[in-house]
Amino acid sequence: MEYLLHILILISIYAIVGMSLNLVAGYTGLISLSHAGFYGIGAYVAALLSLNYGVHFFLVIPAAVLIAAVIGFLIGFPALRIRDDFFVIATFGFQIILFQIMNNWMELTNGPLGLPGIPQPVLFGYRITSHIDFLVLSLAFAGIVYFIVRRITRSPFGNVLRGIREDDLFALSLGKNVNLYKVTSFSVAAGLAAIGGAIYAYYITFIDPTSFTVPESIFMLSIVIVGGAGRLGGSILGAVILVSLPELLRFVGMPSSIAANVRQILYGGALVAFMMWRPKGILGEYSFDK
Amino acid sequence: MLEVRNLCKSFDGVKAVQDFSLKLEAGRVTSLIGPNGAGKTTVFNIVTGFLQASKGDVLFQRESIIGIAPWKIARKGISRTFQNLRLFRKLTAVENVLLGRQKQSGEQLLRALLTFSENSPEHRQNIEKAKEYLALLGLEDKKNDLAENLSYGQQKLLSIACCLAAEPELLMLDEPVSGVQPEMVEKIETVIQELIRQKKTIFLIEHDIDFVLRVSDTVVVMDDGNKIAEGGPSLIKGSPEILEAYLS
Repeated sequence: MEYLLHILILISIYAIVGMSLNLVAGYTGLISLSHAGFYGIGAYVAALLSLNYGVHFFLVIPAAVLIAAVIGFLIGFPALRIRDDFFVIATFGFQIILFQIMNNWMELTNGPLGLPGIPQPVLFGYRITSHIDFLVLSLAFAGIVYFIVRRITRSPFGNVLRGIREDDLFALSLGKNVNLYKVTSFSVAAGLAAIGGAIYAYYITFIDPTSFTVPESIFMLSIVIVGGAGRLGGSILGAVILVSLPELLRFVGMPSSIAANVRQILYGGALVAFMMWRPKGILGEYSFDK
Repeated sequence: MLEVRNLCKSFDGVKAVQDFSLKLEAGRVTSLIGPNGAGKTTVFNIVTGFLQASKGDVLFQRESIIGIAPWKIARKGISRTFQNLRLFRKLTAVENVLLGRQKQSGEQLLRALLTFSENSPEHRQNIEKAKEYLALLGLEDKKNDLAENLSYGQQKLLSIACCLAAEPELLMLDEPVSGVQPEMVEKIETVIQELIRQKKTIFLIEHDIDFVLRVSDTVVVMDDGNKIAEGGPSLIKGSPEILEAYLS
């Protein structure tokens, strides 16, 4: 039972991350490979604030969102001046930089040794400890993120993002400040990804940089692509499929050391297959092949 | 309304536009004609901020707009279509036209998150306006169709509707009837005649000389980056050299 709850918690966390990445990749058309970095920033902010200063969960989440969004803005501002494929490469570079900071800034992050013993949150006098507690918490935040991204994407602001995704020059010619919209979308997505990272840190109670690597960013992008870009439900479906499918490998009796590698092959294979035969993903409105 | 002064533009030493000057009067239709490569679209791109001029100035409503970002120029009241048709292909026709509307409060992030409602009077008004422009272009029954599913001619009409939705002071159309069926040319001409009745200022590039002669008050002829003639349609009609040399 706990195993099933664990999978559901991971699905909720990755649904948060997937929906946030969908805002920037699926709705704005900007493929970002630095999302694991923002997810990691959320995790480290949560870990450091609760470990070192005993900051309450209700303050940690907005702090994580704000810090990741500001860093997203600072990264996005120069990166969004370059277009298309070069933007992807720039975000790849930023992901490596963010990972190296987490891995090498010993005084702050404790480097590869990570941060153990992250205290579990206390909400309204109730300590969140069990799997079911964390499932409720992560589902609640997945719901909040769904609501936020849905509000954004169904508004005229969201219509501009979709317009930029389709043709940014035409959007410019209609008076839309394209760079501002892009950087806003990028930093909002970074902030929302940090929520997923913070909940992950509270849940696992230990974080180290290996959870916030380039392959993790690719995994997050796979959730958006497989589920379907430009559809919020797609990110949830993508999280369900990509988190749960590899777990099936356990049930065919594959040793865990091999299963870990096969998992990566599965993700890579799924990405290639979808790009070749269904670039829109399962539910998507937008296809990266244009 | 619009004044172009001594505009020059070079690409790697190739002079695309040389010392080009022009004045557009409000409420009139001015057409820019000339052979391919004459520099017409380059002039359009400089006026709308998509290209930087090597030299010269562009004044709109007596204010210099040279070097200003395209989105700022659009907000000052200049809307344009593109020679290579540009649209928001995965958006419906009405969503396309809505993007032309200016100063929508829901286009700001905080308002989108906190106060925007699909039932707000402002949004409803924008939708109604968008539908009006679709109706003007004869696309009212296509409002919920994706732009990519429209015919080429309908897509051209839709791009004009997007520009009109911005309620611009100056409408710039880059080859509005090229590549479309004769009945669609007629439709586009009807729309332009309607805009003329509304005293809109229109600046257009077009190769279809008959169309140009029917709709224009002033015709400017370009060749090799230079302005070689300017006058009323009768100037062109009376100049077989221009007709033969540049428009055959």
